[in-house]
Parts: sequence; structure tokens; C-alpha cells
Amino acid sequence: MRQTQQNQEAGSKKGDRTRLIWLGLISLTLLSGAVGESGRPPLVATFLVCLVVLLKGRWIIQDFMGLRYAAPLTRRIVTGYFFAMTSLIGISVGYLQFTATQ
Amino acid sequence: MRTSDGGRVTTHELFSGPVVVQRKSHTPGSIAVWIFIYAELTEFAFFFLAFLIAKFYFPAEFRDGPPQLNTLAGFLNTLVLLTSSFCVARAVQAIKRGAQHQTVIWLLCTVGAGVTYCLIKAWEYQWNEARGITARTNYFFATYYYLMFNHFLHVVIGSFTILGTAVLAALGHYTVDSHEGLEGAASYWHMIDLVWILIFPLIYVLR
Repeated sequence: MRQTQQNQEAGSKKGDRTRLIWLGLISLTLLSGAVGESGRPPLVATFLVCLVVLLKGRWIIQDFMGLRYAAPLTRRIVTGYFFAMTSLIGISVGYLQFTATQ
Repeated sequence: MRTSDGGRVTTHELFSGPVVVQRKSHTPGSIAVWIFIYAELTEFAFFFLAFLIAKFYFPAEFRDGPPQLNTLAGFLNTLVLLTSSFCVARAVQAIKRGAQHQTVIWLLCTVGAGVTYCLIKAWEYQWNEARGITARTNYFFATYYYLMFNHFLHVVIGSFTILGTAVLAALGHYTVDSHEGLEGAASYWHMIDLVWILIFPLIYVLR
């Protein structure tokens, strides 16, 4: 009985956090859309969008996937992959935008 | 600022994670599922590389392409996939506290989101076709269709997998102590969402 109550309390708190993360992800998506359409200099927009993508990825990996307390190797592979891909995209797109203005 | 024992999530916890003194390490799903997920991530990494290489070779086509796309469809699909990830995360939380009925409902919501994604994609493809955009239009649209259709296939496979776990959950296959299969399916679904988070800015936003 006590165990079930503890499970439900822990579940309720986790549910609160998951809901907040979801709202955060939706807000960041709106933000990245606004940055893309804001007419800012392309390099600045690319940098901001990549920052937003990194934050969204971090929340999904650690909280939705539940890798925050996973084996370090699994967590590092997925986090490293996401960081490497975002950097690759950001640097490539940024380089092309930079050379286009020269 | 309230402590982590206060029952509510603080701003500090939202960004840095809950404060936990001691916690046992737990990796969701089995090693087989993770090897499969790594393989899928590798496949998408090659797609991203191919897209970027093509962008270097045909910068004008890749600069003029995104404004011709249905950005609203891409944006709606981002919201749908984020919501589906939320639903599947809630399903895992529900089974961990033994709430079988809630688990099934959250899993069915995830499947509903998967179906919604497919319907939005169908609308996007029709929208493109009405404007004469096909995979043969130019190199941008060729890589766009290649990447999109591949991701679409993964969503279809993921939806059937989640539907299967919903049936198993309804039959009482998963319990508080034994739900590795459900966690594995959820991890696969999150991987699909994670890849879309990279695809959305790459295709629709960054020019």
C-alpha cells in the first residue's frame, strides 16, 4: 500500500516535469520558427536555430528518452551524435552563408 | 527556490535535472534495441551528409528551395512529433507505477499522433504536386523527397511498433517490474522524433 502510494507520488512529480519539458519544446519550436522568419542576418539566425536545436535535443535525450540515468556509454553516444550532427549542419550552412556574402 | 522534495518542478530542475542524491543507473530497453537505434542514427547521419554535400555543389538550388516548401506542414509535424514523444514518455511512466489502463491510452495517443503525421505528410506531398514540385524538379527537391520519405517510413514502422506494444499492454503483458519491450519501443519512437528535430531546421528553416 505504502509502496503504491510512493510510486504514485514519484509518478506525479515525473509527470509534472514531463509536461513542463513538453511545453518548453513547443515554445522552442515556435521560437526557432520566428527566428527563421524574422529576417535576421542568416549567420545569426543559423547560430540561434542551432542553439535551440541543441536544447531541444538535450531535453528529449535526457528526459523523454530517460537517458539521464542510463549507462554512460549509451548516453554519450546519443548525446555525442546529436551534438556532432547539429554542429556539422550549423558549420556547413554557416560557411555557405558566409561565402555567399563575400 | 524550492527543493526537489517539494513535489513541484523548480526552474533549476527543469534546466539541470532533478536533484538526486543516489540513484541506480537504468538504461531503457535492451542492448539489441540500442544497437538497432545506433544503426538507424548512422543511416540518417549519411542522409544528412549527402544533403550537405549536395548543398555545397548546388548552393543556388538549396537557397531557393526551402521558400517553395509548405513550411506550415513541417511546423505542424514538429508539434505532432514532440507531442507523440510526450505521450510515449507518459506511457512509460504509467507502466512504472502499474497504471495499465493509462499506459494503453497514452500509447494509443502516440499512434494517433503517428497517423496525424502521415496525414500531414500526404497533404504536403499533394500541395507540392499541385505546384509542379516533384523529386525530379532539381537536386534540392530530390534530396528533400529522399530524406522525407525515409523519415516517413520510420514513422510508419514506429507507429505499428507502438500499436503492437499497446495491444500487449492491454493484454497485461507489461508489469511494473517487467516492461523492457515497451521501453525499447518508446526509445525507438524518441529516436524518430530526435532525427526530425534535425530535419526540420535543415530542410525548412535554414537557407
